[in-house]
Amino acid sequence: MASALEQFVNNVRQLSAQGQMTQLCELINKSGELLAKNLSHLDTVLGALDIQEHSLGVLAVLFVKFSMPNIPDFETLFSQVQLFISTCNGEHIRYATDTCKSRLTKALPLRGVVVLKQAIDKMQMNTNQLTSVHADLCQLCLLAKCFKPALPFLELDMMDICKENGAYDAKHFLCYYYYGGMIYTGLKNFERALYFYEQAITTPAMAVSHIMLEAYKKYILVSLILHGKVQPLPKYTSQIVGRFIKVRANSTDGMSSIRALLFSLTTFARDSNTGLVKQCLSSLYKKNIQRLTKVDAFVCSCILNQCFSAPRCASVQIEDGEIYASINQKDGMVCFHDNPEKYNNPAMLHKIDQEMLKCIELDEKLKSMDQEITVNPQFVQKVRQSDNVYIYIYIYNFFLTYAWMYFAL
Amino acid sequence: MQQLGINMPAAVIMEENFDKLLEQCESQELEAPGGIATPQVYAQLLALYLLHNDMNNGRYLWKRIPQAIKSANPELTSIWAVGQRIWQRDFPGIYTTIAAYQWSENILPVMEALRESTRQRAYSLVAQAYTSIAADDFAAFVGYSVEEAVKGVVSQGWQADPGTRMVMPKKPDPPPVSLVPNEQQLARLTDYVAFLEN
Repeated sequence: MASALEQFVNNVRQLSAQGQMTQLCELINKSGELLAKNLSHLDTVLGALDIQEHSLGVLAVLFVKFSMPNIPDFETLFSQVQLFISTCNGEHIRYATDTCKSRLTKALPLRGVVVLKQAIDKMQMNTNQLTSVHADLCQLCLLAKCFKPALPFLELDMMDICKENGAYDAKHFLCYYYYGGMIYTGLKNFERALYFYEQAITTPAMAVSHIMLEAYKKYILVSLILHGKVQPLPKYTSQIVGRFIKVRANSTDGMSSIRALLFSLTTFARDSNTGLVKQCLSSLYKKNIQRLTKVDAFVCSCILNQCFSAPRCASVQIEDGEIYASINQKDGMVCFHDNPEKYNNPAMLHKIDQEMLKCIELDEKLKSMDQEITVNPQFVQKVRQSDNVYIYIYIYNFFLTYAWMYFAL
Repeated sequence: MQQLGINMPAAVIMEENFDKLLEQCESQELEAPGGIATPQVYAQLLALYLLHNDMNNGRYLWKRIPQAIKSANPELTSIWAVGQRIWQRDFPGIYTTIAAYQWSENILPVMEALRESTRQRAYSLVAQAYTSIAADDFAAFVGYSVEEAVKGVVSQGWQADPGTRMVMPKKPDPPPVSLVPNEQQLARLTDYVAFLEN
């Protein structure tokens, strides 16, 4: 048995030195069983391999160790993983994604967060690249109830996806946006959460995905909290959503009334969305007050309190900047004002500048993507192959839809 | 008697210190062995979140602190009591809860800064939202006695009517905006036109 292990070590050394990553990957995938049979010798194997030069080999050994049903010494293993991730060669591990990241969620989500952040830094080619580890980081943050570590990654707009030798799956993409949406919902950044859920729902799809279904339910609730109504989905949503997911979500046509919300509380409680539904209720009160601002200039404050059973709600909303009003305690009246913003000051100009700059950057990005596609040999071949103009239009349309998604930011 | 305006340099230095302290506490929590940090780290982190009015992170911190540490550390529970008052926007409650507990050395400066910042919030909220407010309510908002509160704001230009016991706040001046130099503006406009023409 030992000789088979020795052979494994030699092969790993050889292939790593020659830089033949794909063959190394295959070797590792086949040697899983071999390593599992020789658990006691794994430490010696680890000692024989260098972390920087033979990263993939070390990764395989660590993975097998984690796959054991009960792990005798978690702390040592954990520190080994930490050491590995901080010193491994980024080039190598980009090729293999069967890493032990899922094992870290078992015992200690919080500690896994730091490790995963390092892993993402290693695997990314540039900061706007989405890897499969992003989804796991978001999941760990949710389990640990600590959202700050994931925020720097969530705030960046993703422009690219890390290929990971073909192992990157739609599940990682959907999970990233679903979990990211949940994190933003927890932090009450409802606009960004809505955007993330929308990304998950509008992914081109040919089959129903449970992740999309759950994202759709949360999309409805967050849309209600933010806008008081369910925002219609953009046109590039795939037809799957309309035909299957909306029916299964079983929701919301009468959602704008409080009674309908209370009635559907039980339905949503099954999916553990109760917290969001309660927030919907309180936001409905706020929306009612906001609607009132458009109708009346003065309202007696006691009537306000009576009708909307929201004591001191008005002052809360004024503080949050949701309505513009002043309370006159002497006369017991609340006076509503128009938005005092006249859009004629330098601050507004500065804001417009920022938005224009973003648009210009986006345009440049799109131009470079367009160029990449047009010189892609496969694309050129396809265009030449069939004289059929319709295929060209189809592919170009697909690209335009893709570009539309980014433009609709 | 506190002035409404802040003494700028001291406050800025304090803010930077608290920001650095916050970052340190957060990284300490993430790297703690076993995923559980010491009660001091938790207490400081929670107090700093309250100071920054970051109730979302504060709430989740409270959820992830283990129950054992919560029951063994009454200070932690008192910090959370202050947090609950802030969440419910119960201004008078905030002041009473802060005053009710004997804070340890680490937490005391944070709590005092919290009280001051709550007071500032209350002043600006009243100035923005109310055209007239009863003196008793106003005093409750800022945590002073009625005489002190009225005296403080009258010196800032607000009106007070002892007969009806009403205080008439003055709307605050909008903050000054930084102006962009003209050459830069022109360069930007040129960029926009070039972009739009293409």
